Amino acid sequence: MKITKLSDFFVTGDPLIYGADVAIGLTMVAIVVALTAFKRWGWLWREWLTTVDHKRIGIMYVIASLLMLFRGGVDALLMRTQLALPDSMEFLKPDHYNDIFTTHGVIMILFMAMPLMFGLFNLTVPLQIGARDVAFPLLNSLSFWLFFMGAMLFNVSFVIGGSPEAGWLAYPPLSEKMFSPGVGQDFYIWGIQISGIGSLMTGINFIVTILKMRAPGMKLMKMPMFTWSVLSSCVTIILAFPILTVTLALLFIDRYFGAHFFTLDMGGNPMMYINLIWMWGHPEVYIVVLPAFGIFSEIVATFSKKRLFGYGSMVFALMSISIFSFFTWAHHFFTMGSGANVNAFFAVTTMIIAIPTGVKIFNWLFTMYKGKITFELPMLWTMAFIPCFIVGGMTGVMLSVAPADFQFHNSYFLIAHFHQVLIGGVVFGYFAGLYYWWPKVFGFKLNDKLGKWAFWLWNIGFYVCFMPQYVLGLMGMTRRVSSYSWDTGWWSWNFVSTIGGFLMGIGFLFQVWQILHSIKFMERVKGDPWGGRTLEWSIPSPAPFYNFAITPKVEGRDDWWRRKELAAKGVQDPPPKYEPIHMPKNSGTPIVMSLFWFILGFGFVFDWLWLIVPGAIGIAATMLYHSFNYDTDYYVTAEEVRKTEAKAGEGCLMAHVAANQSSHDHDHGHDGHHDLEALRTMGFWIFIITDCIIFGTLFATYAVLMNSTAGGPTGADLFEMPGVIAETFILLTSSFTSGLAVLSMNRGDKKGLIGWLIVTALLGASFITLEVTEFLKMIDEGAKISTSAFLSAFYTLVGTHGLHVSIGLIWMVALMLQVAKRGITPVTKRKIGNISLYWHFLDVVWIFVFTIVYMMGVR
Amino acid sequence: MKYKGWFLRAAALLPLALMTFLLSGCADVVVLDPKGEIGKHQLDLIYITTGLCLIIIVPVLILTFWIAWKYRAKSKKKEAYQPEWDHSTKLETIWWGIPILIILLIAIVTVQYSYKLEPSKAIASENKPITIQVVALDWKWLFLYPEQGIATVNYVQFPEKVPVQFQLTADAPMNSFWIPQLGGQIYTMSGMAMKLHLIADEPGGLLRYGRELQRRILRQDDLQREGDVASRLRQVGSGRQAIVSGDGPGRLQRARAAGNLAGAFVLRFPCRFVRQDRQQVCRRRLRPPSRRRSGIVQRRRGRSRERPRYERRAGHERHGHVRRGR
Ligand code: HEM
Ligand SMILES: [Cu+2]
Ligand SMILES: [Cu+2]
Repeated sequence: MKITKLSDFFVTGDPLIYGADVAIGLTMVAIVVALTAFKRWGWLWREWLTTVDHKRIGIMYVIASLLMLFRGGVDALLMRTQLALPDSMEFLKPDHYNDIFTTHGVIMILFMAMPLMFGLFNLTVPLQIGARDVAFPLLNSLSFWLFFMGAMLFNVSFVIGGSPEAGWLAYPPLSEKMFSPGVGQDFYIWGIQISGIGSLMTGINFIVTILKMRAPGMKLMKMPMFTWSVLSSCVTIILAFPILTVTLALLFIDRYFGAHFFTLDMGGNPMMYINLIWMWGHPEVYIVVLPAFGIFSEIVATFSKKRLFGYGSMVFALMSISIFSFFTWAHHFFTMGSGANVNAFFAVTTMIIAIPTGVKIFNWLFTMYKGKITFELPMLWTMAFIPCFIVGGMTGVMLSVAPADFQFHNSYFLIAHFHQVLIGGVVFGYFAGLYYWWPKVFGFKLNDKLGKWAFWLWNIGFYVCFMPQYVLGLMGMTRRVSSYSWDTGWWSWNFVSTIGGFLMGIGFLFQVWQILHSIKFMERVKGDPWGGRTLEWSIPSPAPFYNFAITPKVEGRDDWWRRKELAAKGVQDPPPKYEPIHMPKNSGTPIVMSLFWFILGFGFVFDWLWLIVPGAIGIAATMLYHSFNYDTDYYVTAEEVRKTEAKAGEGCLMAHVAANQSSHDHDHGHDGHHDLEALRTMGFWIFIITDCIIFGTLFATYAVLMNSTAGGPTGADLFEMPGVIAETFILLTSSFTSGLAVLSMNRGDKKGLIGWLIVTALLGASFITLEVTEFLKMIDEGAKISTSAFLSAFYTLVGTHGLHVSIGLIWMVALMLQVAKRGITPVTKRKIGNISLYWHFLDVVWIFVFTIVYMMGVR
Repeated sequence: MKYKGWFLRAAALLPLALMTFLLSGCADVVVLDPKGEIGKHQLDLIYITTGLCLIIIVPVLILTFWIAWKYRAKSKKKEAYQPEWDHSTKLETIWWGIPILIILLIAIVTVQYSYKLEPSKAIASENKPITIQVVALDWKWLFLYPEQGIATVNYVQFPEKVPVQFQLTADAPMNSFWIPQLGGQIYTMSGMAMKLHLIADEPGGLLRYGRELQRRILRQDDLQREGDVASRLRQVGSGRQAIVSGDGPGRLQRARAAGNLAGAFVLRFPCRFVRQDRQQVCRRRLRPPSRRRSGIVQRRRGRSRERPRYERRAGHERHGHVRRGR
């Protein structure tokens, strides 16, 4: 976008926005002044910004997401205020209303629910499975900072450039340049894209953590239910998020390069976007709700003082939900007219999800049955959740009845449904989780009385706000309208609904008050304030930075509960024998790299090359810096561990019961690289799976668009097979030589390894050269990415492969240098193994490109 | 914690109280008071499925509060406490079974109705159906009556007891066409021709809703932009009138005089005006952008002029979905 005036850059003309400008400015000044005055810059950098400790990262996630909850909540209340009165209200202008419902949706799902969920993962999972940290602590920090920068980029649009206004899922053609020429939509794309990469990496990280880092003895079927729910959520993430990445990338390519994936003209297909975005979007709602199910399972068992009922059913239900959620997406557009067959199919798959969900409810109820239930705050929220979610699930089933949905779709009935499951399920669940694990994280409890106020305000507010919306839907009120007339009869319902909205807002304020109050009056707690059942309660609160002084040895589900019973019977433990602990070092790489992502994103939003280039170079440079950095970890001495434990232990005798169980167990824990390299290899394999989905999605779009040549050249006109066959031959050979490199490596032949790598890299480089030449020639003939949908899909698919090869080349050179310097070590061995896997993978992808694109194209 | 019982009871009563409150206002709830055959079937379906859901949901809700109440730790009566009891194949079979059964029933009903109420299926009637073509434009609806040779904007009228075949498309961002009184909704999408069959069993609208009907009876649901109707109207200054393109009102009058549309179910759409900036957008679109000036594209454009745009789309229809530009 050409910026000619300052007012093109800064959003002007609205008092709300000026207010926000002032507030943002003042807050920033206040933060800088405070940090300087208290000489806290170094502390901030060392202890927080560069931390790789999952507990601190979790805290940062929680803080950031509560801030986002505040912003999303203000958006919501602005909308409700506008809707409180008909016609005469001109509180928000229509355009502003569009901005606000768009940002509200995006922020609540992607920048509130997701990070709050990741916060809870981080705070809890390693402690529940008896691990010292997550599998990839540095990557974890990078995920956080990518989320943070993405969220900032998105939020900046409020005051700079203008907000997106095409709805939270940005359906084209409205979100295309033709109808949304401003930068708001680009902020949307880049904000979500950057944080989405972070989410994907968190998904990989926690899968590996859960599969590989459990304490010895903790078989899969002995895992706490929350950990199971995180696993199922993360599996869904790694399968769904790549689709989002591709979809947004295609929208970006449309907007930036004038391609025609989703445009009205040149063969573009907006319906494809709607399908793709919901293939991510529906799993996404389950991604956020599954962990809430896990939280409730923990809480119900703890506060009923009883084992979780139907553990096997619960696991099965979680896993089947995460799989089924991939086969229901079309229920979001029954009204697209796909025909009775399609609608009936997706209606039934959707309903099926209600079955495992219902079973979970029964299992929770029967966990309480014959228990001794205490209603502390976490349990109160759980009790609020159950009826609320039952009703929300029921309206979900009503919506899934396709022919009936014709009357519900796009109305306030739908709005009420998803708020009921998202607030009643996800938000209540995460609140319950926060109240539950807060003492573990901070070592003090949250004030009960204020918490009760917040609880009742939220709950009453919820029903007052959303029950009327079901009625409004049946009265024909459609979503996303910013005003209506007096004679509609909607007024009273809307007014009541607005009151409910404000009650929830006050509830939130009570929670803020509750936190501040509790910080001031600090009711300190010991390790196990609730009578917990799982391992996180076996260590002091807050947990020491290495979590477990001695890796626990697990013998059953609810292992901590079992040990407490043993201890009660007087079973004595031998005195602890501490050993050095292997820990990751803090690092500034993640935050610096994320900053460059921000710069890159901002550059693309405004199409400023002078920002895009440094952003991209910065990302590559930090990545390489990290690759060359071998100084990433250290050992905590046994003596230090002993001291720390003694200090914490004063308040927490129980801790030793847990700790001592496995003092003679050496097969896990401090021992360094061998284990780590296996983890990293597994992580890389999962990354390859996500990449498979990326290419799969691209192939699917290509299949949809390959005949949409819009009268332009076809594959038969363009492709020149001799060149393509040469490319194929070269790439296949390079796969072979990379295999030879690995063979040399396994023989310990450093020279052979480097030699074969050089051959592979040269072959790869010539492949790229040929491909670029081919592309240039085609472009020269007038076959550009903007010529037709077919060519958009062609260039994007083949280009993505080419980009992968190019990145692989840079990586390969970096690895050669490392091998030359360090020789063949476990680390370089793993790295070479990974790149060779990557290279074979690209080869397989190319074989598909060759057959599907070129061979089928020339026929 | 003294008032815990009170809290629980209040929490239980609140939704109930609200429900009664809701049901008292039924008169205006148009989806529950349909004026056409399709809407009536859809309402039946809503009642059937809701009923089936309630069979399971009501007992579970009661069970929830009963269990929470009975097994509270503060309870004076000492209830059985079995901390180790965590599995029962019999019970779990029951609660896998019940939802499976209910969902099975709902699924069967749904599949049947999916075929019965498929929007593209014509409605059987003694009367000859009429066709109305609907085009969603930027901020307004265009209605074409091919048999009558008239066109209207934001205003549609058709006789009662006559099946109407709406043929729908868009020449702008996607939209959704919904007449809640008559039955549900279908998207209008550029490059595709959709069909929606509805019928009005009785005259409606105008009489019942008076002057303000246009915003009432037939709502345009702008799926995406949802900017708002009323304030935009006010900006332009003539909110209340249904705007008809050209000498539209006159033409509509003529059609009605011809008897074809007598006793009609009259519907007026809230009209949306093209804002200044939108007009610019439109104009820009009509002029082929420079990058599309290649010979190939010109040829395509030339070909496409042969027939009017709407017909061209409808003519290429292939099971409802037509892709433009093949
Ligand atoms: C019993 C399980 C559920 C069923 C059968 C169900 C069914 C549906 C259906 C059919 C729709 C589409 C309605 C329409 O657009 O006309 C829908 C929308 C939606 N559902 Fe659910 N749902 C269930 C649970 C959930 C859960 C657990 C969540 C989130 C945590 C959720 C979040 C949403 C959202 C966000 C939308 C609408 C998004 C939009 O249009 O912007 N649903 N649901
Ligand atoms: Cu869904
Ligand atoms: Cu379609």
